[in-house]
Amino acid sequence: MSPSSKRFVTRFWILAALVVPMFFASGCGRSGEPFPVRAFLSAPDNLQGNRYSLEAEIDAQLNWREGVGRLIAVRTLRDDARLPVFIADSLKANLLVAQRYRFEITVRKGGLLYVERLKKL
Amino acid sequence: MRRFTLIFAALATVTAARAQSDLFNAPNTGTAAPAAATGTAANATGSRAGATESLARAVNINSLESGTLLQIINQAFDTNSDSINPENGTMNWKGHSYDMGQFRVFRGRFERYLSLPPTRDQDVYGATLDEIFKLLSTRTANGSQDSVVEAWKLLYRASEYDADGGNSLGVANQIFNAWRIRDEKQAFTVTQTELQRIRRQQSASVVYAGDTMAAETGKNAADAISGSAILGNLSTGNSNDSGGTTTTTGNNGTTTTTGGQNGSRNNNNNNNNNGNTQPKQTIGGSSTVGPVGQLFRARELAETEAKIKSLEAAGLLSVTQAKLQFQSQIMSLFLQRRFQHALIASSFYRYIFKGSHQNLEVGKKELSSFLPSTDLALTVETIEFLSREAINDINSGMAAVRSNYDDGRKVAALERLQETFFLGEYMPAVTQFEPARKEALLTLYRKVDEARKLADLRDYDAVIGLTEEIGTLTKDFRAPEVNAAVRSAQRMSTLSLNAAQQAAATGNYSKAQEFVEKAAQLWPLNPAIKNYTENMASQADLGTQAGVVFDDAFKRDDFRRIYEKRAELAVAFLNDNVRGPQLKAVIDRMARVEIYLAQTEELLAQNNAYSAWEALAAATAFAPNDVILNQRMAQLAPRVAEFIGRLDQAKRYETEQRYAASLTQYLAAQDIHPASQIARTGLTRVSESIMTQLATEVPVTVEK
Repeated sequence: MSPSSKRFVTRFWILAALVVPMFFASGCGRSGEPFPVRAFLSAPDNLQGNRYSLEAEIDAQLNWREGVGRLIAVRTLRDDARLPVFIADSLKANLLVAQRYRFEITVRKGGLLYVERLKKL
Repeated sequence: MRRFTLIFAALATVTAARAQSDLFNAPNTGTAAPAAATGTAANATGSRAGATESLARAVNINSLESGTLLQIINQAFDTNSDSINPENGTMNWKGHSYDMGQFRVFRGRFERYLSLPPTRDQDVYGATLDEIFKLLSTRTANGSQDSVVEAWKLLYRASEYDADGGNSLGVANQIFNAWRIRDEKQAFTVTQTELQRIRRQQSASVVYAGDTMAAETGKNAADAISGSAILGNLSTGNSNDSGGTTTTTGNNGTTTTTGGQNGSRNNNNNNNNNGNTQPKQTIGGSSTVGPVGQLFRARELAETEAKIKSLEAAGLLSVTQAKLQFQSQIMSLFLQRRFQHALIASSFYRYIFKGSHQNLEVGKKELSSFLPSTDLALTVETIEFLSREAINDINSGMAAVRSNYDDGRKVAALERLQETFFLGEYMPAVTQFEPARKEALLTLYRKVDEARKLADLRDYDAVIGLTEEIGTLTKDFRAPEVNAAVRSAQRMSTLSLNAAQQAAATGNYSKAQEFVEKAAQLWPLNPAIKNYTENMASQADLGTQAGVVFDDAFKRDDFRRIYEKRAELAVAFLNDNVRGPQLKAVIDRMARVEIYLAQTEELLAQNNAYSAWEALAAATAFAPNDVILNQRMAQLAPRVAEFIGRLDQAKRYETEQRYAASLTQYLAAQDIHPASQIARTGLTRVSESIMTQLATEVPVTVEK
């Protein structure tokens, strides 16, 4: 390979390294509405069917059933309130207490906060 | 009415007297028959003191444990004489039992005797009897018929007094009857004498005629005489001539024959101037010296003999009957304990009948029971002897009564008086006992009798009070013995009652009932029995009330009220198979509540309001409506309001199966009180429910 072609490949990978994160960042919650914790606590039914973004810290695992998922208690970073979220096993997430994530959640029937996607912060 | 001696009248008809020509004393002989064996005057003293033989008293004892007690009390209150047998109502004297009839009635007579005043005109009556005794006495009187008649007249006077009871009149009538029979006997004697004279004449005539005929005709006379015996009913023409002929022989040898019922007299001169006697037959009972006349004379002689025999038999029979009647009356008087009249009748008997007729023909069996030896010849004097013996015993008994009374031993005096009364009910020594003493003994008698009845009824308190009262009346009453027996019975009753209470406490009510009955038998009026029954009744009432209270509180879940009355209810429901277990469960619940309440107090002291409230909340599971619990929770609620709100919201969401929302609220509550047990268990429970729901929605794909 010529030196000019080597310089082209190098510049391409640098550019790609800069562009790809920007692409992902623009498509994962940063544009999602923050979850209204107080409203949810007072009237969870009013939020059913909505999608929100929730940044929270893993507090405790409440329950787990293999093949179904796990119930995780998370503490919101903004309101310092603990909320239960369900993370399906299909997300294949490895969760540890005190880890912080941004969760894309859907308020399902009964007020269940269903995690659609999550990203470690 | 004691009339059993009338049986002796029947005996009089079967006795046979020895045939004697003269049974009565000749009234004009002027010689009194000597007394057979007594030799004692009516007022003789010195006989031995009366000693009655003991009879075992039968004491009626109920089949109770206190039988011994009753026996002691009966003995202590006993006023019966040893000679009295209350079972069959007899009084024993000298081995002989006097039938007193129904003993209860006789006791009534004794009580009546004590309450009666002395008999009116007793002194005059006694003087009359003394005069009779004096007139009949072989010592003071000469036994003349005038004295006897005078004594007989006094009997009618004596019979007019109440104390006599008409017995003197009976004796007088018996004497009159005997004298009438004696007069009849005397009339028989006159007739007999005349008949015997006629018989002698007839015999002489028959002998003379027979000798004459034998001299003249030899053998024919004898044949005629013997033929007359064969032909005793030979008719010779006018056979109307009854046997009343009288043949007299004159000085000149003529024979006058008076015969025929017409009373005609035919005199035939039997003298033959030539001295030849020719046998002739005459009609009309004319004298004859022939064989036929001789036959008539022989028949008349036989008829006269028959009349004499008939008169003798009739006289003997009437006299024997009089003697037996007299003896029967004497025996009857003796057995009726009319000893004075028995003596009077015996004295009259001695004067009326000969000494050879003093042997008793009736009542020998009855009389022999009074005597130690039955080999003795029983005479009227035997009755006299026994009568005097009884009178002496009565006098001695009354002397003992007075002696005991004067010594202050009134119970002993009462006993002696009672036994003396039974023997000498009709004797002046008894009837004339001093009224003041009788009244005092009557008071004692009634008190003792009342005490005996109270003892029988086991009214022991009254018995003790009465014994103290009796103790003030006499010094020989055995009050300590009675009181000891009473106290013993009372203690036994109380012990039985204590045993009953113990048995009831253990729930053994049948055994308790047995002990109560025993206690009541020993002492029916035991005041502790009343208290016991009242307590049992109140307990039964409490049981009824307790049932109502428990049921009401249990229905309203007011366990607090049940718990507060748990002690009373536990007693009331000892045998209640339904409420008993319910009560136990309530007590268990409330005991836990109380523990939680105590724990709450401790937690509040540590300023741990949330744990305190959780403790109260845990307690509500056992007593949701408990007032105290709710009060505590209400007091604590403001301090833990948000926590309570989260938990309450979580619970409501959980109930509505909105598990996610419930889970959120539990987490919120746990944020408030991280140590909350309610929140933790709620999280576990609700999360499991959520997972179960999701499991049905999310397909389980387990990668291998």
